[in-house]
Amino acid sequence: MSFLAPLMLAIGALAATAVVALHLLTTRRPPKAVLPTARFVPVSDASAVARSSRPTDLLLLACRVLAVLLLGAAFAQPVLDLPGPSVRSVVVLDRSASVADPAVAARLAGERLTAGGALVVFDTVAREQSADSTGGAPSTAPRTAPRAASGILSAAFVVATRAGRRVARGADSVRLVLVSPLAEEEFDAATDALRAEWPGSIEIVRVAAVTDTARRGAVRLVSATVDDPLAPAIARLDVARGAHEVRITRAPPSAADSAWVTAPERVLVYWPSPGDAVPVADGVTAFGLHTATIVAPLVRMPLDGSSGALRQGAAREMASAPAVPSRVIARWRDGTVAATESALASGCVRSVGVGVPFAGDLTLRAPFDRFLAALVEPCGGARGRAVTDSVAGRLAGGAQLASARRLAAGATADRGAAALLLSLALVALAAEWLLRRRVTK
Amino acid sequence: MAVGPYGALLDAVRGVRWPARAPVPGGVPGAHQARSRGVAPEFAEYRPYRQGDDPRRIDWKLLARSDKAFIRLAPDHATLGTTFIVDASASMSFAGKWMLAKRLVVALAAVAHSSADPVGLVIAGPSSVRRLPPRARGGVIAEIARTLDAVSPGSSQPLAALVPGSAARCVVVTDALGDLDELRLALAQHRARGGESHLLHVVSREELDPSAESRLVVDPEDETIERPLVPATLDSYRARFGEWRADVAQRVRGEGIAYQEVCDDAVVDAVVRRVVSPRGADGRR
Repeated sequence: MSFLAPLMLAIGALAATAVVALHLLTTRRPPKAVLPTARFVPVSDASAVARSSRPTDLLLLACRVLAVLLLGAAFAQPVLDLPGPSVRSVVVLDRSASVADPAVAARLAGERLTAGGALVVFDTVAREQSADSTGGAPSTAPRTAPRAASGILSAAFVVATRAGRRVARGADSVRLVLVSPLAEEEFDAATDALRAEWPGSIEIVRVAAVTDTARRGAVRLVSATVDDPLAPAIARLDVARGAHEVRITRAPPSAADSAWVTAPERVLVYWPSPGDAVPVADGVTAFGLHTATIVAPLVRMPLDGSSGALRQGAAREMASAPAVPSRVIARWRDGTVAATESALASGCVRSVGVGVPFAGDLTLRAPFDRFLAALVEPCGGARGRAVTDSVAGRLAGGAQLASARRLAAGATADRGAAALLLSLALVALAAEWLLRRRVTK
Repeated sequence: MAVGPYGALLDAVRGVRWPARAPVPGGVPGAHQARSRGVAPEFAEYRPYRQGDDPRRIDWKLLARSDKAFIRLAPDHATLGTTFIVDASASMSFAGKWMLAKRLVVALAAVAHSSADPVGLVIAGPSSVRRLPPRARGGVIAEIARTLDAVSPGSSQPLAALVPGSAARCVVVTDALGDLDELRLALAQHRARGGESHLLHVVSREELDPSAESRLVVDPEDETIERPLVPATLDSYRARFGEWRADVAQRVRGEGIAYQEVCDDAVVDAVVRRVVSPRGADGRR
């Protein structure tokens, strides 16, 4: 067991010493002795304070010292040291859709995972994989859940740092292993800062990334009007990567649309027209490969109607291919969902509730191009290219493992141990109270 | 003379004389100058013959020259009875105070007896007062020693009532923790009657400089006095005890009483020599 605040432990020890000293300075009556000139001794309390070579009331003293030491230990934020090797590993496994072969990634991660270490898996969220029942390394076997989500390295670093602080107890150093293709979309603005939180190097095991092929002209707008404001923006759209086809329909999806979208790599975007609704100044952000925000007069449109139309039109297809839970791909400035994506068979359907007014030059501006690009990405989000080796090298840092002591400096106390020590201190205080009552009687 | 453990002490004070501080009343011829005139061969003065004088004491040659009858007078010497009053209260049993008192009395009695003075003893004992009337016979010192050895200090008795009424020498050996004021007055009256008063104040080293060990000290003569003697009160105790002893010495000497403070670790024969010195231990007559 180690302590995050050893000063409190020292304070507890000092307090215990003071308790012992007070027991040596007990107010017991000194031994009697005859002195004929006792009348010349100043009158004072006969039970004056006297020093003793041995502490009195040993049981009381034991209870008090125990209580003070336990309180000091409890407030010193105890951390239980875990058994295991001196060098432990935290393996971060990328399970996002950017990984070409999850099985290979899992095998590589498993090879680097040691006993007493931790496994962190991440896609859009990161979580620490619990150890198996034998107390050894956690399982790296890939899960069967769909991997439609992109990976977020920032989240992975947060959880990995937290896991590193936990496994650092009782170790000398901790090795962080990142098994990932390091795709572009996995980096964000916080990645560098959160990487700096890890006080050591990172061993990067790069795996193959999903390769997208460019296909120009894959986005098609199905609109009832010829002067649809989306048309010029779609015309400017450059789908540089992604072997997918996108159909943007302004009318509720038909059965044909539903049948079309069930094919692989197809995206159906239902983006209704606002009609005569009056736009108001608003802001909306789309979360694609690159986050895009537009601030303009817009119309907030409900998202439920589109789903109903889709269900009516694609009832047969959905019966054979159950829909995957939606993911949010755009939000209004107040957090309200502005666009969602639902997987359907091998493709996906997107509902966009952002009403773009016919009047104005919104669709002619660059922010709208980026917003549109985020809405027409492949199902599950766009796959960026893997970062260069120099970027990966910068991410890896030097060759020095993270010091367990530096990691432990940011660790949190073991609440269970602190609570146990606090409870024992209370028990000791209760025993002291009972003993004191018995002594005073 | 069977004097037991006092033999060495008696040897040490052998030859020491204890002259009276003032002429003594006439009486049995002794070593001290008497107030009366006698018929010794030494000439002192003439006095006119009065009826009733012994005609043999008339100086016939002076009668023949002056035709007047004169009596030839010479200085007279007498003995001085010495009574020792010993305080045998419980406080005297502390440390070496009682032993010191016994040795002082035996040694001073031997010194007085060596001048053929009768010596007596009064012990204010725990249950009763033991008296040995002043005697000049041989063996009285041994008797005094035996009497003292047979007594163990106990409860206190007032000493003032034991002071003799005769114009003799009275030596009180006490720790002055009893009826000091009454004793001082009695000794002053004794001196006014022509007697010689001595007060030997016995203290113990432990009383003068108690050890620093904390303890609850109890007065052996008054158990209601029970006070903690701890390092914090030690200095105050020493100061108050010192002031009291100085006050006792001043007041006793102010009454013309010979005063001597004696510690229980003192050399007894040296103390005896100071006590018997005509100038007294404090340089006063």
